[in-house]
Amino acid sequence: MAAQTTGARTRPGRGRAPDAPPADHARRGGRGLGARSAPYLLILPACVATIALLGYPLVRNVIISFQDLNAFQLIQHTTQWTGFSNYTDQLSSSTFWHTVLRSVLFTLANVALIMAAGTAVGLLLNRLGKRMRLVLQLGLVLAWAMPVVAGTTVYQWLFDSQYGVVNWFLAKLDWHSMAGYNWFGHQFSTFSVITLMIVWQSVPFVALNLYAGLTTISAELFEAARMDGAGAWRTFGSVTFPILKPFFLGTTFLEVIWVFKAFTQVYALNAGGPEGSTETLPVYAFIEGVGNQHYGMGAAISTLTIVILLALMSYYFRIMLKQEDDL
Amino acid sequence: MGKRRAAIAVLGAAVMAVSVAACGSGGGGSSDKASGPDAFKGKTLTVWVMSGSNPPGWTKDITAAFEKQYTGAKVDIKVQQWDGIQQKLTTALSESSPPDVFEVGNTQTPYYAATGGLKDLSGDKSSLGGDAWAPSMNASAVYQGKQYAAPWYFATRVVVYNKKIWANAGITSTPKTQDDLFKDLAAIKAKGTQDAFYLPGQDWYAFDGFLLDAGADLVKDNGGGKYTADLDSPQAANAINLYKKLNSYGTAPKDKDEATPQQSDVFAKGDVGAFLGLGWEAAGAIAKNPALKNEVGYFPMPGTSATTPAKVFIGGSNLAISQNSKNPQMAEDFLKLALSDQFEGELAKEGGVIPNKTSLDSNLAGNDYGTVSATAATNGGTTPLIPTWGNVENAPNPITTLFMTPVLQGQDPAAAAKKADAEVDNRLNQKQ
Amino acid sequence: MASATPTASSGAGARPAEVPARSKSRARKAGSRRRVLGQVSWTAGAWIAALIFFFPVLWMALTAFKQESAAYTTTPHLVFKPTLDQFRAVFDAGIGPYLANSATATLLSTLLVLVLGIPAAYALSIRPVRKTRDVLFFFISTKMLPGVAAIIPVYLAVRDLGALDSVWTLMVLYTAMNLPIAVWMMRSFFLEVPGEVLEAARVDGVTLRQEITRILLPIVAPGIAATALICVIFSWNEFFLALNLTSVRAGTMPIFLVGFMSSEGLYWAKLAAAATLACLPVLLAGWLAQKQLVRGLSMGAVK
Repeated sequence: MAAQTTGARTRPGRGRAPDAPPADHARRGGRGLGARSAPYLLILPACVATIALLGYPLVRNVIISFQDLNAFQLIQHTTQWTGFSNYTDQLSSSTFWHTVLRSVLFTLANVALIMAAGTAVGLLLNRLGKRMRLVLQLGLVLAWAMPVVAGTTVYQWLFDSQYGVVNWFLAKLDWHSMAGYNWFGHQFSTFSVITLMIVWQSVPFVALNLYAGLTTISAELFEAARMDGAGAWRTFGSVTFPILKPFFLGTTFLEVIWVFKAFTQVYALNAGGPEGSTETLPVYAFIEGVGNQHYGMGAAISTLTIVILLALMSYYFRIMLKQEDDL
Repeated sequence: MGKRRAAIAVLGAAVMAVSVAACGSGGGGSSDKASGPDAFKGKTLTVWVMSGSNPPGWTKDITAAFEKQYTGAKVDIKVQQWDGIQQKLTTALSESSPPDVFEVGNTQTPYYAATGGLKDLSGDKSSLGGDAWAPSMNASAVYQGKQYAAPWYFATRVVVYNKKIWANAGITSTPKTQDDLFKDLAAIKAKGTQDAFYLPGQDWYAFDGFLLDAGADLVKDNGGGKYTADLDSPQAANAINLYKKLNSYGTAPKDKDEATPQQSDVFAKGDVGAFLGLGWEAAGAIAKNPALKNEVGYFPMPGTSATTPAKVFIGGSNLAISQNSKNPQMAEDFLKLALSDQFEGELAKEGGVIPNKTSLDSNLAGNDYGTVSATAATNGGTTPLIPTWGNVENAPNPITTLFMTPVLQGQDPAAAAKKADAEVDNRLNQKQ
Repeated sequence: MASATPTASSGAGARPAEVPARSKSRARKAGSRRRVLGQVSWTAGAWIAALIFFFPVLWMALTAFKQESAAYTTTPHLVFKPTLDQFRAVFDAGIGPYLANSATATLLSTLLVLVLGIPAAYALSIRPVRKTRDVLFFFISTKMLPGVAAIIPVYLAVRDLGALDSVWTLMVLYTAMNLPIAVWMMRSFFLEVPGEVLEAARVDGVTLRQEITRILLPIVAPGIAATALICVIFSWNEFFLALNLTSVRAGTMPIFLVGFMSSEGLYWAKLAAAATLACLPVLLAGWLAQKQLVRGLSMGAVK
């Protein structure tokens, strides 16, 4: 099974790269002009739907970011333009830049943990017998499928200072200072809980994908490596990783996007507290924009969020596109 | 320097004056005539009340009365939670079918009046009974000289206590001074009750009361409608230390407010000595745990002297009609009914809240909470009646998250106050 | 595990020719020992990992069957008297309409996604257009839009259309939300169809519609099912849009749960029951259709 965007190599029965024009199909089918425009017509509904429902909000959001849209303007349905002032206010505010730094570090830490744990679990899946693998798979799927709202509720209980299982368990392990510990009272511990939850729900995707990718590597390569005396690490470094590089790159790329724009987990667990110290950019945009009812400002912040995300991703884009060209 | 209810601050921004005047259709009184019984056949009036404001008997009676008076009409009373209500109201008022009648807290009314989302009731004031409203009671509903809402009721926080637990600890009479109170709480704690007093860390209304009692206020008036935050004062430090001491007599979380979890739910469990709350919270606790029915008592929060109880924050609610309401006439008629002596009296009797006319105060006589609350209310204050105050109350509220909780968790009051003051000032000066 | 047989080969007098044989058998035994030990530790590791992933879900489900006093305690109880009271209380609290709304929005939006997405996936795989890569990229780049950036424009547009608080609005938005992923996934399933089948069909001169419906769909049916399942899960769990665009009539399950939390925050067992009910359809889907889901997840670009 192809694990990624690639692949004339791994697709059975296709001798052609996907981009080549379907010259002989048209000739064979004998449908002439109709045949050539048919594919475009097929894509059209989906493209229109996507442009309308996802592109329109993006454009409108940018437009709003140049307006003064507060409670008054919203209720009165008036439009009040304010030029770049929302942007200059944000770009000159130290709160904004602290939030950016916090978001970037948070994203990097989470993605590193997700990829490491996900790879480990994926490798584990590969080593198990069928029955155990199904058990582990079930656990992974359930974790992934759980609605975020239910998940945050459960995590809040688990980490409750008085009645939570985690504190009880840690105290049982003789770490007594944790007995009534308020996980949500400090920045680092709050981030730990948030990170744990995000990693918990993201690892299944990485692990299952890696496992699927691993099954495409022929067993002989592993055998050969073992014959040569390579240990587990060597095998991973010389066999697994190089072959699955597109997978690792692509998955990291996606995880960075998802973690950077993650909102519900961060907001539901402590609303960016204590004292705003766990506000990431999306949460900051929400609190400023919707919570404080300064919708224009919020739009500016969220536009800046997208710009920053694009900047972060530009490095990856280049690598991904180079990958596509190499294939 | 207390912010008396009589203070009406005029916001300087010219933008506001222009916009409110430009506020198009409807303004002004539309009718003194009563509508005929079939006037609203087939229509439904949407009424938003806040959690805790509508006792069940009152709700049933007023719905029945309105639907009887206007055949074929329906009244849909919806209860809203205080958390996030500002955002909800803002978006609702911007829609084409906002709620017709809605309750809005006295601290938030100027904010909404300034947005133009409230209907101008100046012409209807008399027919709503407004001639008998004391100016101090009406202050929050008036903005730039126009009547944008009608005062509905007032309520103050009192100490709600569990008579059985107190009697068990050997206490025979309710405390008259703060020292007495702490002595009593210590006795209760010694008897094994973990939560002698349940005071969560973010009940800023309660804190405001302590602050007023200490002789200061959340903000100071610099004249000309400009306010700045004033938490960086020795009185504020005293007030928060009193708060901290009370909080220490229980296990209430330091970083949550009185609704997360609901204080009344905690009290309903039956093992809490006392808490600072409103009548509906006590009623809610009794509803969840009927065994508490005869065990609940009230006394005003004691002050430093034995003769007068502590000053308190006087909370209140106004009823407003939305500017874009699809049923303005129906809304007005409902308002007339709700503000009538009959239903104001019934609200006072059942809920123990202080009605908008002093002539109706006798209705509080039978309500334990009401009598105590009225005593406390003679001595109190509220927040500045300016539109930008609404910004301060948006989550995360800087008073609670940047001042109260950090100090409760060990920070120095002066240092926390500086951070909180900066954020409050920021919000007070935001352009609307 | 076999214990090492004592051998005198290391002692004096061993004949050189015998050493290799014996040490080889020893090596083989040691190797098999290592393998069994290895297998046991992998299995143990798997159990631990599975437990970690299971635990929050398990805890939630367990708490739902407890009495309040057994749930809201400092010492967690693993053994308790189970009761259905909490579930009954949740149903009494009016979960019905929310369930119905969630079901409607989820099922209808998934249907729409399939109707719009299958042709697009076909076009991008079997009959590739020029700029396939760009189109794919366009689809996947839409995932970069944070919810908070979309919510105000969407709210304003929906409000001005008078479509607030409506299940149909949610249905349309969920379709848009899931379409990019669905196209991506279904395209990779289509790419797996052996070229010979298509060639044979074309030689027989089938029309485009027949090609899709009678030849392709049966082959990619499992893949379509996997895609549909994933769309169902995403729609069912969606929270942010529902929160901001609904109020009384069109609330979905996550909204019910959040409302339940503010009114019953202290009652963990009841809350757990509500949360379990909120998760139930997707958890069941995950369990029963595990194989399909895993296949779908492995097709990349999901969430």
